[in-house]
This record gives sequence, C-alpha cells and structure tokens, in this order.
Amino acid sequence: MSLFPSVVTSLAIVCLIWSLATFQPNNAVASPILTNTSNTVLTKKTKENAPTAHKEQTTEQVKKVSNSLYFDKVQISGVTQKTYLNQLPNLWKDFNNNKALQKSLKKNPSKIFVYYRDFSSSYESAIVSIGFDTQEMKPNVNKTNLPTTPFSVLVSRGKYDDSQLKGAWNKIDYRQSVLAVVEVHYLNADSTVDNSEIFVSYK
Amino acid sequence: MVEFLTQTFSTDDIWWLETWLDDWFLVIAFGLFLLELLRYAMKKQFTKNLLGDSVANYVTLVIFIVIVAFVALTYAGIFLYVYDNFRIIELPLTPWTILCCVILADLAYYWEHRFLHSNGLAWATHTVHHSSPHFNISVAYRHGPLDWLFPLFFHLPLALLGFHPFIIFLSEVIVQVFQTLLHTEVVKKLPKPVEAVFNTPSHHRVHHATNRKYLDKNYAGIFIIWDRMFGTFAKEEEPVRYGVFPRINSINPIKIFFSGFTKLGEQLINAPSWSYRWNLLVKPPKWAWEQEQKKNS
Repeated sequence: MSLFPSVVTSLAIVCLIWSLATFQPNNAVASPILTNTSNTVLTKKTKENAPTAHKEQTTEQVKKVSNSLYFDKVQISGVTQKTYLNQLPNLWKDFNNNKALQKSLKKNPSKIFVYYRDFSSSYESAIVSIGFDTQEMKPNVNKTNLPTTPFSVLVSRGKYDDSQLKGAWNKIDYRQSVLAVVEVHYLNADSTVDNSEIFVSYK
Repeated sequence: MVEFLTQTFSTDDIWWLETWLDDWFLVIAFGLFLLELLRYAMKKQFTKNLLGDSVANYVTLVIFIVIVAFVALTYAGIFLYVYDNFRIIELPLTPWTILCCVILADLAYYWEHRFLHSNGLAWATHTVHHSSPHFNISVAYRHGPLDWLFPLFFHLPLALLGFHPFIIFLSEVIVQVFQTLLHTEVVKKLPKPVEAVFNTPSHHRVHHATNRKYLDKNYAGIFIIWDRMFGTFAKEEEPVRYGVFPRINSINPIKIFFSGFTKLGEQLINAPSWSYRWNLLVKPPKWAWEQEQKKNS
C-alpha cells in the first residue's frame, strides 16, 4: 500500500476505534453518585428511610427574594476537584479521610454541602466541592463561596434514598445552561444524613 | 468481563499505574539485560566492546532523563491544555478506553516511527538508537536528544479525540515497554499466530538491520499488522547485521548521544547549496548516503 492509501486507512481505523471507545457498554452518564459504602458520613441510608413527607423548612441560609432563592454569603470548606460525576465516590472518600478537615470542626457538623459547577458540555464532569459550612469550623480554613445567583429548588428538604437523589437530577431543565447545583445534606447527632435538599441555578 | 472493562478509574489510579509501570519496568529490564550478558558470556560472545556499548546505552538514558526532566511539564501541559480546551468529547476513564487508546497510540507510534526514518532532521535523533552494532535490551534505552519531541505531534490528536492525557501517557508507556522487550537475540521466533499479529524480537531485529532488503521495514510498536497492511513488513530470513552507515565506532556516550546532530551539522556546513541543505533536512537519510557515495566515486 502506498503512502496516501495507508494514511486514509489509518484514519478509518482511528474512526473505528474511537467509535468503540465512544459507544462502550455502560458508558458513563451524567448521573452523580452521592454516596458509597465507604462513605463514613453518609452511611446507614437505607431504603426503609425512603420517601417521606418529612418536609422541613429550607435551610435558614437560603433567603427568598421575590420567588428566587439565594444562598446568604455561605462559605464552605472541604475538598474540591474537577471530576467525572460517576467518580464522585472517590471525592467523598477524600472528604471523609481528610483528618485535617475533621479537626477544623468546632463541634459535630450539622450539614454537608456538595457544590457542582463548571459542568462539561455533556454533563459528565464538573468541578465539585464537598465541604462543611465554615461557620461550624475554626477560622483560617480554605473557603469556597457558594454562588450568589438565584437558585430554584430541585428537591425540597426531606428524607430520600440514593436513587431518589440521583433521580432528582433528571428534573434539571437541561435546555437551559446550568450554572451550579448545590446539595445540602443535613446530619443528625450521629453524623448520619437525616435529610437533604437540592438547588439548581441556571445561567 | 464487561464489568471489568467499564469500571471507572480515577486520574490518580491512571497516574499511579503509569509511573509504577515506567519505574519498575526499568528495573525488570535491567535484570533481563544481566541475564542476556550471562548468556553472551556462556556463549563466549562477551566482549569489552559489548560491555562498553551497553554502559554507553544506559548513560544516554541518563542524559535523556535529565532533558526530559526539563521538558516534561511543558509536554504534559500541552496535552492537558488541548484536552481541556479543544477535546471533541470526554471519554470515561475505564479499561475499555485504555484498551482503545493503546491501539490508537500504537498506530500513532507506527507513523511517528516511520516519520523518524523518513527525513534527515528526525533521523538525526533517531539514528542514535540504531547506531549500536549490538542488539540487546540495553539498546532499547539508547536515546537521542530529541526523542521526546516527535511523539508529541503524533499523540496529541488523541487528546482532541477525548482521551484523558494520563491515559495517553499510560498508553505511550505500554507501547514503549512492549518495544523494549523486543530488543533481544535470545528469542528466535514465536508461534506463527503471534508472529502474524504482534511485533516480535524477530521482526524488530529486521528493523535494526543494515541488510539492504531489511531497510526501512517493521516500524511497528505492538502490532505488526500495521506494517503488513501498509506494505512496510519484512520477514527475518537472513542473518541480521546491526547498526548504521557510516559506522559510529565509538563507545563514548556523549559522542553517541550527539552523533546524529553532529553528522547532520557537518553535512549542512559542507553542503554545496541551500537546496541541498533543505534536502538534507527533509529527504530520507538514504538520500544523503547516496549523495556521499556519488561524491566519493
């Protein structure tokens, strides 16, 4: 085969192999995994806790201004990484194993924030921060500001299992460009998740 | 099996695997090289020149690593920049993706390797690897000054296609590790199906030969099928004579390391015209060799 047909054949091979890579079985999709078995904070969330009418008041840190919700100068401190959403358990692992972070807490934390932004075009990856409210932490920790843009409630505060929380992402209006998603997981005295709520902000 | 191929790795996992493979394989390859030396000794083929040449090979590796230490961040940065800003899609970090990337990285290696043999500028660095009159695992580590540069152009498109740079680097390492194992005279021929699909020591001996019928053949990394498809395959049929013309006749690692560019520099200075100089850079090394033969005759 001379040079030109060899190059063309190579390009065809590249297309073929790339297609195989693109359409691989169980290809990663934009579905966030919120917890995993190694997660020491978010454990003991079983299906028996499932759906509930346990509606409580939205966190006091979210303020309502003419039908829009705003995070009121909320700062969080924890771990941040650009990650595939289906690899979120690794970030949870980093968060739970971060001894320095646990030591920075003044007392048992009351909630954990998960802040997603800078989504890729396919919503497969994003920059994700998992952290505690800095008000519950000692001073001089690294801080990440939650956006001050208007949010709407995706899932109101209540008890949900993992699949319900994952399912909540299907309620996002993907026709609009998503600026950020914030999950708030409220902890009880045993530091296990009592209930959760999810907010979304569009560009 | 499908479950294994589609499980998701973290970038840390990929990076760890790449560095682990890179570091430990060097140790393993050195062990294999010592066994080769033992075999040479038992066959009474061990010579001072073989030892000197082998030591020189490892010294060129050290010089090469020093150069890479200076350029590695830029090299990786270019891949990450292209991936972050220009990728068409994002491919997940799964063994399946790694497998696809290894195949494409191997195809990229074939073309890069063919390119290195196709013009005087690239040959000036790659000739170092071919200049040893011996053939053993230490020769795999005989590097030229710009050996790190050319893979960039041939592997960068993989980042555009959505392969994460760490997966690309891992694939490059896998191809290199496989290639390294081919530099031996210990293994004669492998079973026919293996020789048909994979690059083998036999196929790679042909690539390092100066025998006329073997010139510019067998560029493959892992899969010899590329050479078979693109018409650059030759089977090992007659005894191989290793090295390059003109012979380098030195075991001085510094002289060896810069031999290609020294030779090219001399040729450029003594060239009769600018068009000749241009041809020295872009035409195959065989062209320069033929011009010198004409001049001498």
